[in-house]
Amino acid sequence: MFLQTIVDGIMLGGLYAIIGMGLAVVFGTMRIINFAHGQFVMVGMYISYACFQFLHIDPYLSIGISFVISFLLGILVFRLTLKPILHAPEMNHILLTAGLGLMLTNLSQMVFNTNQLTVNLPYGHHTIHFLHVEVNQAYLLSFIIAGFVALFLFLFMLKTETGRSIRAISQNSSSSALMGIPVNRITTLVFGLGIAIAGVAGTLLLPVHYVDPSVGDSFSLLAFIIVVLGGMGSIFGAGIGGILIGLIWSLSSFYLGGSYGDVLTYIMFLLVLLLKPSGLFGRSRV
Amino acid sequence: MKKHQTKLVSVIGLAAMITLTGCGSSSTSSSQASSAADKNTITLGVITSITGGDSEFGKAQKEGYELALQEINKNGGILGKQVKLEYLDDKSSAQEAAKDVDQLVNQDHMKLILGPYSSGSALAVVKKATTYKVPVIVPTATAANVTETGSKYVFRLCATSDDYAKAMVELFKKQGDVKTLAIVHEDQNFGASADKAMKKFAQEAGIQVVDDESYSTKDLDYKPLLNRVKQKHPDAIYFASYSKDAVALMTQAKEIDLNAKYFTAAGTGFSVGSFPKDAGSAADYTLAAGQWDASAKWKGSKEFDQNIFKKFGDHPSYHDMEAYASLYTAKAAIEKAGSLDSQKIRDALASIQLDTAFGPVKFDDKGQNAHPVLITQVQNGKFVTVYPESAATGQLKVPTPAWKDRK
Repeated sequence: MFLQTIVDGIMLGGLYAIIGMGLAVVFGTMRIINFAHGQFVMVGMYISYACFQFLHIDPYLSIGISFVISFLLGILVFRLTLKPILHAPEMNHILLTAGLGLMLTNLSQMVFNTNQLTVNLPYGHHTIHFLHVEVNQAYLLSFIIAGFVALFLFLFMLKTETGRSIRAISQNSSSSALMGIPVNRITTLVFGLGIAIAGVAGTLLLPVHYVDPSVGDSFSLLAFIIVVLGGMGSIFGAGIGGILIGLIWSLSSFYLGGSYGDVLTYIMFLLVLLLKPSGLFGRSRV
Repeated sequence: MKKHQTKLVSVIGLAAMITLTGCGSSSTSSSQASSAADKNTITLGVITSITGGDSEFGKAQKEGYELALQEINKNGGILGKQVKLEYLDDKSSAQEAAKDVDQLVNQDHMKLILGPYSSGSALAVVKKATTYKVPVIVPTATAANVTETGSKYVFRLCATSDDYAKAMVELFKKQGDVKTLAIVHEDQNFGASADKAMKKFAQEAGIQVVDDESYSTKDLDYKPLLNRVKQKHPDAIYFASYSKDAVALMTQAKEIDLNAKYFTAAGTGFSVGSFPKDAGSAADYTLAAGQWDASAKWKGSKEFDQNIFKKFGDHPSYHDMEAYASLYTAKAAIEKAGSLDSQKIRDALASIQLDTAFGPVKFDDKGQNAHPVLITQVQNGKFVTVYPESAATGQLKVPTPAWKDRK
C-alpha cells in the first residue's frame, strides 16, 4: 500500500510539476510572478474541452492546439498589458496579473457559465496492473506527456540559441541587450512559452478533473507554492517541487486522513519559507 | 535577502486574496421583474442552482417547478391570478444565494421565497430571509441545522440527513450483517451534517464506525482517501456527496478494488438521474437514502413521473418532486392566507395541512415536515426502491459482489 500511495503521489505530482514549470519559466526570465497562471491553466482546459465536445478530438490529441492557442494568447496578453509596465515596480506586476486572472475567470463564466464540465473518456477509468500497483491510464498518460514536455523544455533551454539567450537575459538583461540579444522579442517569446505550458497543463488535467471558471484559483496558489518550494525561477526545481507536493499530499491523505493533504502541503510550504526562503533549488537557474 | 522576503510576504498575501475573491462575481442581471402584486399575475421568487457544481440538481428542480406552474395556471392560478416564477441563480454558492434574497425582497418585493437547492445555500437564505421576515419554503436541503436557526420563517418539505442516516441504519439492523462502517463525506454543510447524524445512529445501533473521512469536492484525486477506507475493511460505506464527486468516488473505488458489502449514500449525488449514466457499471448496487420515487403510493406520483417524462424527456428524481410539491404548498398557503402578505403567508404555512404527490405536508413548530425516507438501489443502471418493504418495487440485492466477480 505504501508503494501504491507513492505511485499515486508521483502521478499527481507530475501534473503539479507541469503547472509549476510554466510559472517558473516566466518568473526566471523576467522576474514577473504571473498570478493569472492558474487561470491560464483553466483556459487550456476549456480549449481542450471545446475540442472534445465540438470537434470530437481526444484531449490528448488536442495538446498541440491548446499549446498554439495558449502561446498566441500569451503573446497577445504580454504585448497589450505587461510590456508597457515591464520595468515598473513589482506591485504593478502583481496587481496587473491578479486582475488578468479575475478577468479570465469572469470571461469564461460568460462563455461557458459556471457548470462543472467533464469529459468521459472510454479509457479514463481503466487501470494498469504492475508489481502490485494499480495505475490509472489517464494519469499515467498525462504523467508521461508531462515528462516529455519537461524534457523538451530542458533541451530547448540548454541546446538552442534562443534558450541560451533566455538564460542570458535571466542572468542580466541589460548586458544581454549590449551583447546583441533581442531582449524584447525574447521576453515576449518566453511569456508566450510560459502560457503555452500552462495551457498544456490544462489539457493534461482535463481527463482527470472537471473544469469550471473558478478551477484556476486553486491552481494559481498551487503553482506559486511549487515554484517557491523549488526555488524561484528554477524550472528543474519546479519539476521536483511539483512531484514533492504530489507525494506529500498523497502520503498525508493516506496516512493521516483525507483532509490532511492540504494541511501538510501548506505546513511544508511554511517550513521551506522559514528555513530556506530561497527554495530547495534556489541557487541553480536553468 | 530582506527585500526578497518582503516580496514573498506581499505575494502570499495577494495569493490569499485572490483565492478569497475568486468566487465573487457579478450577479445575474435581474429580469424586468414585475412587482409581486401585479393586477392579474402573482410572481413568486425561486432561488436554485441553475449553474455551478449543483446545476444537475438545479435543473431537476426547475423541471418540477415548471410542471407545477403549468398545471396551476391551467387550473385557474392562485386566487384567480396567473402565476409567474422568477428564477434567481445562486451559482451553487451560499454568498450568491444570500445576495439573491436581497434582490428578491428589496428590488422585486417578493413575499415568499422558494428554494434554494443546497444545504449551504439554504442556511444562508434562511438567515437572510428571516431578517426580512419573509417566509422560505425549503424543498431539498437536508442538513439538520437549516431548521435550527430559531427562525419562524423556514418551512422544510423534505426529510433531513438525520432521517437518511436513521433509515440506512434500520436497513443495516434488519440485514444484521453490518458490524463496521466507514463514512466518507464532503466537507461542507451537507456532508458535515450527514456525517454527524450517521455517527450518532450507528453508535446507537452498535455499529462501529471504523473510518470517518472528509474531502473537498475540488480535490484532484480520491484514491489515497479510498485506500485508507480499504485498509479498514468496513462492512459498509456511507457516502455524503454531490454529483461529480459521487461519480469520481465510485469509479475510483472500482479502480483500486475497494470492496464492501454495502455501498450506501445520503441521497444527493447518488440519487440524481445522471449518476448511473456517468458512473456506468460502478454505480450498480449502490444504495441511496432518498425522499420519493415514481412508485410512491401518494396520489399523483405516477402522473408526475409521466408528465415530466413527456415534457422534458427524462424521468424525475426526488429533487424534481420536492420542487413540484413546494409550489403546490406555496399555492395552498397563499390561498389560505387570502392575500399576498408575508406575515399572513407565514401563519398559513405554520398551520397548513395538505396532501401532495410528495405525501402529506404539515410543519411542526420548527418548520419541519415529517416526511418518510425510502432507500433506492441502482440495479442494471436503474433506480429501484428496496426499502421500506411497504414501498419496495424490487428485491434488495446484497451483499454487493466484489468488483472482480462482476461481469
